Amino acid sequence: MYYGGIQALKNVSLHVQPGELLAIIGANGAGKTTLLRTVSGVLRARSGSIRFEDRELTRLSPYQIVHLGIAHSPEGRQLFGGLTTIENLRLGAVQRKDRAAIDQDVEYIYGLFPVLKERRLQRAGTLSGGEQQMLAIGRALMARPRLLLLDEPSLGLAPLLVERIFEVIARLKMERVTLLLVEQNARMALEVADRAYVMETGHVTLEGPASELAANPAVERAYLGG
Amino acid sequence: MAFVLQQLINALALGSIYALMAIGLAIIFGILRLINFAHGELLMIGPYLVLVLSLLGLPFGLAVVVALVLAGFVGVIMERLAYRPLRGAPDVSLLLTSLGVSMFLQNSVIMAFGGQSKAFAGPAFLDQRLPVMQNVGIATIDVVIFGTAIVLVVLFTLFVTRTTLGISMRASAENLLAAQLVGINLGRVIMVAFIIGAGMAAVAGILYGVRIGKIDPLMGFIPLLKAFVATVIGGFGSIPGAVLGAYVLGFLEILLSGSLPSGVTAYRDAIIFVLLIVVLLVRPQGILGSGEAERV
Amino acid sequence: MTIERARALNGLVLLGVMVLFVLGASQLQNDYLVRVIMLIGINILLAVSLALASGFTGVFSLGQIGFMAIGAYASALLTIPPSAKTHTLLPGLPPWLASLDLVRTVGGDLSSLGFSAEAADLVATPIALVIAASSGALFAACVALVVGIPLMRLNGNYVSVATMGFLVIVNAIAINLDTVTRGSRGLGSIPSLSRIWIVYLFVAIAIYVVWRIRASPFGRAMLAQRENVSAAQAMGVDILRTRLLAFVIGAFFSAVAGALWAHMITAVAPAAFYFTYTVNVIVMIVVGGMGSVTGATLGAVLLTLLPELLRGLEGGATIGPFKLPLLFGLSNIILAVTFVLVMIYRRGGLLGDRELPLFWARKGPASKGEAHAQSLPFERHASARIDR
Repeated sequence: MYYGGIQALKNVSLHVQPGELLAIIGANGAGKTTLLRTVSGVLRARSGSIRFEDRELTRLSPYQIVHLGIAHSPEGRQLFGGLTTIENLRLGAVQRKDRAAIDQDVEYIYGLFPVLKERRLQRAGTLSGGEQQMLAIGRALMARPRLLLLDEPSLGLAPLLVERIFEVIARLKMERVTLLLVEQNARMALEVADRAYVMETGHVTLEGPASELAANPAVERAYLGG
Repeated sequence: MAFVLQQLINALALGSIYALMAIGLAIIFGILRLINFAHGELLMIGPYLVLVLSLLGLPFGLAVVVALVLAGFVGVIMERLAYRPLRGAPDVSLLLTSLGVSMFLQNSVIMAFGGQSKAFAGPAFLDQRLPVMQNVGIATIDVVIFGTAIVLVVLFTLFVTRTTLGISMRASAENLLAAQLVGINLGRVIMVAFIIGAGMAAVAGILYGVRIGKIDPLMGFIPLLKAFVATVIGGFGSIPGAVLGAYVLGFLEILLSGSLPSGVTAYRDAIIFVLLIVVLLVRPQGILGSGEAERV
Repeated sequence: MTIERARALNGLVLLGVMVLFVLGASQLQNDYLVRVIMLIGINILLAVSLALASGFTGVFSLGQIGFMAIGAYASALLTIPPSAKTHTLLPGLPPWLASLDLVRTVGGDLSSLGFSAEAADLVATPIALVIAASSGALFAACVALVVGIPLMRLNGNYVSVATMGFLVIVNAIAINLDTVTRGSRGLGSIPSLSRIWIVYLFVAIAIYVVWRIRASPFGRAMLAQRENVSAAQAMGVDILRTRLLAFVIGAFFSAVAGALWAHMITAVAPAAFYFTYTVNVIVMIVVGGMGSVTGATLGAVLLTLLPELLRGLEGGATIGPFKLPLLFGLSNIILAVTFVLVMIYRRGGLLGDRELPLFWARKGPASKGEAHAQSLPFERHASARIDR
């Protein structure tokens, strides 16, 4: 079994249960992206510790962290724009050696996002915003992660596409992928999540089951536009 | 006709030397944003290693192979000792550091071998001329240069499009953050980039040395400048662009020397650098590049 | 004591020390020492102007030595006696320049003003040199203006490559414009006009000017745009104008250095003003501190002396029972290693942006209103790098 205990930013302490969908909501600049990048090892924590299945992550390189089973679909998608869709997907599995299984997983991603199959030989930079977001999620899934970090998957997408992305997130949850979802779209995030944290300028201000938070008047006022 | 053919071969040989240099510059720039001024020294070290190994009794072919391995090793050491500690530093700091590395390597060779040029020759057949038409002989070395460059460019293209490591290399050059996030081992990719860059530069140096018949510690400088121009023309960091830029430059140089009045020919290098500045100003992303235009 | 008074006193003390130093040094009979001291001054000029043009602005120019070459050639053509620049030697010179005998003309003017012949002679040499150096420097500044208007729009690596292109172009012109420069053979017969006091007069002027610029709103604008171009732009800094000013003034003083160099060595050749010198000056300001006038000065002093001291070693030496062989290149290797180590461990140079504290004003005169004193050059761009 695994648990992740995170202490970063200003005494931020949070943990994710296996198979759980944890959402972190909060305004711009609350430190959500910083938090995820610290988990991935791209940014270094000055102090504190990040543990995953009882392994300390703080001193590890990003590629070692991926090796442990954490994949990251970053904010702004961060695709390899000059590479094709299929090359992007396969790079998600860069550390895996099981060729046959990788081919299967590519098909699995095409099942989740059929449009990616049509675009497979197209450069990622030429895809539409929604397609790029799908590719970013697909690429992260190609690592067969035990923990998937999703940073702002709905940012800048049309409502219909947001629905589509959240459908896939719900499906991943059913398949027992552990998810850490960072979102500004609090309504959608709280709908799909098991538990949630509310972050403000580097602090966690509220935490609890997603349904409770969604009913909390303060959250409603600040994040749900109530 | 004979003259045109001769010039064509000259241009191809020249372009090939530049291309071998430019590929290394482009991949290293693509990943690290480093304009590696020490790349010229990697070119220079190749033939010097061959010289030493030949003195030790190795036949030319074997000496070349060992020299390439050692040159790759020099590239790796260079990256480990000088550039890796500066990872994440601003571009200009890296550029300045490479000036120091260049100075170090140049003077190490001066200390070991002296500053004067030394005679350098390959196997005898390279000095012969291939009879193509009547009265026209093509230097064998020029054909070998072009052939080697083509083979290496094809191999390199296969490497970056067909192998996981090669695709990872392109990916790292495209987006360093994403490369880290998907789990590419950057240290290894960078090391391989330096091995390939150093190896190709050494090949270029050995061929160049055989062609002009002598080598000296500063011989890398002019090819380095030209390779810079080639990578800029092709778009910094773009590998096909760098190769294309190299051949464009090779043809341009031959064209400039052949078609201008003799008083102007002397300014060939000046003209080429004016061109470089114009490209930087008008199309900083180069012919094929699509990278960001860093301008105010 | 108010800060202003302390600062004024500081300046005076500094000036006094310098005058004493120059007076003392002028008494030296040893030609080698005199030359080294002049060379230190010339290198200070180069380092300080590079610190202004590049260290302050973050626009790293590799073309600085091109302006030095322009200053050297232009001033030399003014002072070389007509007998040495006749039509057969330098057919490309315009008649007025070919027949110009600056030293003698100045002497003649002075005696017509009523100076005695001896006095006129004594004063004519330095005045001729100042005129020649200033004219050469003005010419270089004009070139810098023309070149800088397009080039200073570029950022980061691109500006370095473009200015390197400028250096190559200047070199190609110096080699190929035979009729004016005598090609790679270079110009000889340059009168030996450089004196320690003239060199250090220019050094004092350059340091004063650069120091004042740094403390002025213009200097703060330079540092601001170095840290963050778009933020500075948003604050209303005219980036192009700011960089251009630094570039042109840097070119001016580099050209002065070239003129002094030419009239010390008494000969110029294209090979002298190329990459080796470029790298040497960069090493000076990197070691000393890229954004610091005192740092650049310190770097220039250290890195002019070091090779002179190491030169003994290169010729082979005996240490106890060990006999060292000839080691050409050793001093440059030591310089290179030092340079790389400084880049790794102290990226902003020994002093970074700080100034050496002088006597009373503990913080150094330039630190007033100096928000960036602690940050290293170019550091800000670094954080943005990974997101590209």
